[in-house]
Amino acid sequence: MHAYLPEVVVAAGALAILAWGALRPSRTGPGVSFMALAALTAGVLTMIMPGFAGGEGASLTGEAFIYRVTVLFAASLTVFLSHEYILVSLMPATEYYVLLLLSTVGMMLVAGAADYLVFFLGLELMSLPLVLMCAIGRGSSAPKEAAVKYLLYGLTASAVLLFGLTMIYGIQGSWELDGGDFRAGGAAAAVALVLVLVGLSFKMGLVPFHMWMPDVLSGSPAPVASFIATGSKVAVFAFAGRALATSLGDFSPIWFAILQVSAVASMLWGNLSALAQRDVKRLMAYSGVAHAGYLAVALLAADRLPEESLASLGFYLFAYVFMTAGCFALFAAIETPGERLTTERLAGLGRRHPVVGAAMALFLFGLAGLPPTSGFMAKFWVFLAAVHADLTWLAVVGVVASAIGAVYYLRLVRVIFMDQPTGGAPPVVPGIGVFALLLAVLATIWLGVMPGRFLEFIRYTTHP
Amino acid sequence: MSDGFPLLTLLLFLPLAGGLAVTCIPERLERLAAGAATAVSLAALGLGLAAAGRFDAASGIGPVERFDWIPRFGIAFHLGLDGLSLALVLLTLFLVPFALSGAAGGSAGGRNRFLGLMLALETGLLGVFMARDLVLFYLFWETMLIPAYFLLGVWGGRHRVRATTRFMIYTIAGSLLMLVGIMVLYVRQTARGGWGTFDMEVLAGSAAGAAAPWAFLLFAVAFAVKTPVFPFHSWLADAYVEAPTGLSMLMSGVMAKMGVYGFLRICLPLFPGEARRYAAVAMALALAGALGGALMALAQRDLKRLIAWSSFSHMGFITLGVFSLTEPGITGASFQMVSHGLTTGGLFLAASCLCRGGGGGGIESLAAGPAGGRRGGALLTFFALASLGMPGTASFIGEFLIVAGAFRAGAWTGLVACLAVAMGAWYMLRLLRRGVYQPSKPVVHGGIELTVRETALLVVLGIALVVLGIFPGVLTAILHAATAGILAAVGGA
Repeated sequence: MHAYLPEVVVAAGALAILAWGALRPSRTGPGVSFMALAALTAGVLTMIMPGFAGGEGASLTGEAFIYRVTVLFAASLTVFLSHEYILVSLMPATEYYVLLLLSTVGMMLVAGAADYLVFFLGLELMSLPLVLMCAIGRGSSAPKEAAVKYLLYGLTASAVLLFGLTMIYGIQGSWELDGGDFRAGGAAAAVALVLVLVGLSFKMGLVPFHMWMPDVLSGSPAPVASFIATGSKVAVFAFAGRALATSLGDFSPIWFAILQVSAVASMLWGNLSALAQRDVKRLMAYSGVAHAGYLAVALLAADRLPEESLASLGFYLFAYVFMTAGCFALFAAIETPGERLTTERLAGLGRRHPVVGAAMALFLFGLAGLPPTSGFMAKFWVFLAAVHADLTWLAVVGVVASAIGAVYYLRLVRVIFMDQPTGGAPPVVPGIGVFALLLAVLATIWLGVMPGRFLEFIRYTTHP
Repeated sequence: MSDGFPLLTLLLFLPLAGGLAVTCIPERLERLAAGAATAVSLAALGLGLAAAGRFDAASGIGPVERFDWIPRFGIAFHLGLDGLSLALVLLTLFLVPFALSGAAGGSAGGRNRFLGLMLALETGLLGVFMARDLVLFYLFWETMLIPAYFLLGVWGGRHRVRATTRFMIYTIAGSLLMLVGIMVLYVRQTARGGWGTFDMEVLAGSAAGAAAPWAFLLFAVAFAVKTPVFPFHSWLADAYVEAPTGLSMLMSGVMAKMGVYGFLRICLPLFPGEARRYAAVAMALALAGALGGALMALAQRDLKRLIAWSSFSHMGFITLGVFSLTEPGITGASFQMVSHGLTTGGLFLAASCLCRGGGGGGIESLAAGPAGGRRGGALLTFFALASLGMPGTASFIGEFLIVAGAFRAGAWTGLVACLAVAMGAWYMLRLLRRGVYQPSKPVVHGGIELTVRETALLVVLGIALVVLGIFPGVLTAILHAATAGILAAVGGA
């Protein structure tokens, strides 16, 4: 039970907010945001508490320390983004934060699961609140549409995944990741592996199972979109790294071949599709597909070089969370709930708000992989691991895709700094979203300029 | 490893820190910002001269600073200043104050930010020339694009967006390929055991094995895009023409040299076998660029465009010197890098002063010559002559050495190189005849004369060119040991 303490703390926070909301008639006070933040901070503190030792325990692995912490950071950043947004769009704050915290618990379970059953329960606990969070947005029908799409695609993925998991259980007789002789299953094991891989690809947003990402992200409110883009990605990739590269590694030729095609397609198709987008949240969704492709390269490299590649995966996810949340912090600040946020709306931002514009440019340069940002270091480590694992051709495809990606990231920078606004530059609502921007800027610069210590730390926690 | 005072590190980051400070100065205190920026660039020049004082020309050994940066991968913050680096560092430090003042004429709005970004760019340029670790080299090589992107995209000319996009995509694609090359080098050498190093000096001794041709090509393409070498040049004309004057000066004067520097610093010593094998191809491309650039320059009616193509032609010529793999060729290429940096800087500065008359950049409507300002005409004449390699200017020495190297590499190579020199004279003299000395030239805008300040700046640049032309030994002495080292590594004549 001790290992689940952080999850318990966060879940307790959710219950406390629920009780508080029931007792108070007004449901949009600032207090709720701070309660949610306090619960998440308590979760982080529990993680780094002396004696917690990485949280190794029944059905939970200590190697996931960094992923669980990253999920908590992603959730905290989402709270910063949500506070003003909720006030402006009149969303019910209590319910929103309860769902957010419960989803966070689900993500942490997925990230840390050493057991297929815990993983599946976590996955459902993560996804269902996210569906409701999409639907909670007021205004047009877009949020509802996004919610329904997320629900349907999510259910399909879950069904496929569950089918695969039950087959695995049937073969090895236990739910454990390292339980028994999976290889003995023969053809049935191969089918189970493919089903699990398809289910995971849905959640990771890899081509060809990425179709839900653009629709869901563009339809949901910016803070929710940010949480889906960052938190759930961290959780699922963390689990995929552990399951594919270690436990199911016996069958590497099968998943390796499938994932290889999928990674290349994601990197290229994600970046090429993003070129054509005018809706910034759709653009970020396709960019997320491309980044899922780079992350899949780390998974592939982990087949031959597990320690280094999984560490690079952890670093990439951590850096990605901050850069992406930073971008969405800005979108949340200028978005009119219920309206599409097009790239034109960002025009002139850099002239009117030079500091915010510069922060945004930093995140975009980071996502494009330019130094001196964390995005560069993350790509550097992943591609270095790939070259080390004799997958040089994947690294070459990766850098070609990055060059394509640079086109639209830089185009956004151009819009922000060089284009003339059509109807006046958008006003930026000041608020505690500024903290999200600040944290993201610090993380992006720090990990780009002085990554040495953190690299060692990640390497140590992912493989003690 | 560094002995005491970290002079190089200070030199490297002083412009960046100064740039940040200048950016923070309020918009209305423009003159203060301009003064501060110039002061920072001059202080950096002073530090650079102090660092030059620690350089021993006889042995070619200069100051070195080394700190562990990312020990996990064996990446070090390793700076060094040998003869080749020193020459280019001094060129950069010398040109930046001119580039800063060159900005004074144009560019509406946000001047403080402009100056701050120019100083940040200076740090990037210095970093590339001083880095002795491949990752550090890459870091500065790429980081520098960020200030360049904003300088070109915000303060550029009418077609700045197209120019910026092309420039960025070309260079990013090229440098990302170089990143793979760096990784391949690293991994080849670590396969022999444990964690490796990105240190250029260590890697120079060890061949990359079977992957060497690929790694060489990945590096070579990145450098070829930056130089640019034919056929990777299509970004050049737009970028040079649309850039604000200060940036044009640094782009053609210094940034283009980064590519050639990369050939000399990385391609030749790290891949001697491949460099020898592909030298003929490289020389053919270089000559194609030199001739093609000259032909394009002949066809231009716009002064800045003509200078841009002439710069391309000269860079091809310099690349020819590098890949002749001979002593005069490499010395000449290094020498010509400095002299071309000064010449093209002067040409762009003069062009921006002469074109502001309102007649656009058309050669026929220049505000120079008998009808217009005499000083402008005289100075443009001087820099045009310097560019075509008039004896007494630095370019003569550089071009002479390169042609000598080309003849040593092959008689035909030498002959074609001579043809390129002759064509350089042709388009420059035609420019002077049409733009400045046309007898029937109508008075277009009542003669716009250079200000005293502009004249003074151009005269100082001109003096530097003449001094190097008369006393080339100053520079060749600095370069000698570095050239000898490269030749020994590559096994050339």
